[in-house]
Amino acid sequence: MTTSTHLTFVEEIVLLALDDTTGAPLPMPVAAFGYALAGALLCDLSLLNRIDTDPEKLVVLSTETTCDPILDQALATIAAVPTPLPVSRWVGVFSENARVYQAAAIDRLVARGILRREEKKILWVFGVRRYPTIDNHERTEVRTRLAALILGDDLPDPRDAMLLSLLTACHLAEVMFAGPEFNARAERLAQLAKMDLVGREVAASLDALTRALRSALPLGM
Amino acid sequence: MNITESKQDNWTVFTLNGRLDQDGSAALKTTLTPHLTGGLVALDFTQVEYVTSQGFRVLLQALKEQLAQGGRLLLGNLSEPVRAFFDIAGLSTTFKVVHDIHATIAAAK
Repeated sequence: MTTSTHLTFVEEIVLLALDDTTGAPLPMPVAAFGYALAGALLCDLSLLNRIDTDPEKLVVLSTETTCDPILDQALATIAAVPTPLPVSRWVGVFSENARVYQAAAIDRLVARGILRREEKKILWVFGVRRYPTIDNHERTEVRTRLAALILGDDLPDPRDAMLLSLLTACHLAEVMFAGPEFNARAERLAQLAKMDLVGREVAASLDALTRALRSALPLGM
Repeated sequence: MNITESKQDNWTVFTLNGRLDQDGSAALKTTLTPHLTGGLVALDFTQVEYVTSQGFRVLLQALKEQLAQGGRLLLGNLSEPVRAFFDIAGLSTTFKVVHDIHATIAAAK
């Protein structure tokens, strides 16, 4: 368990992907959430100086523990591969474990008193789990900060650039920041989203998957 | 990363030599931080062939701090691989990137 008082990228993406009131998941394209969590994991490792990336590859800088078992496990997986792979490959690999990362992040958000678990029945039969918000301070704070960034002309700090890049890649930004004032700043958001390499790779991976799914569909669908 | 400091007119010019990776960006951060006080700072990338995400983040943070202080941060003499990295990321518009640092400063007199 991480000892940091700040949320990790994985925790932030999980939190921001839930509706404030109902605790239900916000709408996102197929696989987008998994890719975003994989990207968030890599951003966490990068910000902790455990990995570095360039357009061709991701390299391990240090295998020193992060004090976070999820991040340590991912770091060990990357370090075990003898030849560095591109960021996009790791996004694909870690997206397959997205449910594990999501569950761990929710456990932490519940333990910190930010979310609560709620079991509901649909049609008296089907069990559905929701995570309504108890303390909305974190979510409100990050949303306010990012909104100001999109609507203003200031440069982002590197952490906000990474988060905004991930949120844009998985199309969560367009849900979180909807309305005419944000529509008028679409170009600015696109520019901000390009400022982090991991976020760009998540977006590229998701685009490639979307194209593949579309081409696999029969004509007319 | 080997960094040398020089003066041209009112500008402090840092000539970078090496890789702007984790070690390089740490060295650049240490060198630049005392100079991000709102003055005129230029980075000569002639001898930089490689930039990573860590390096870019140090540049982004430096530019943010410099602009907040009312200063300027000029990047120039980018090698082809570094320019390609900046172009892919759309960073050539975020940063003030020039072809020739010294000529630009001289022309601005």
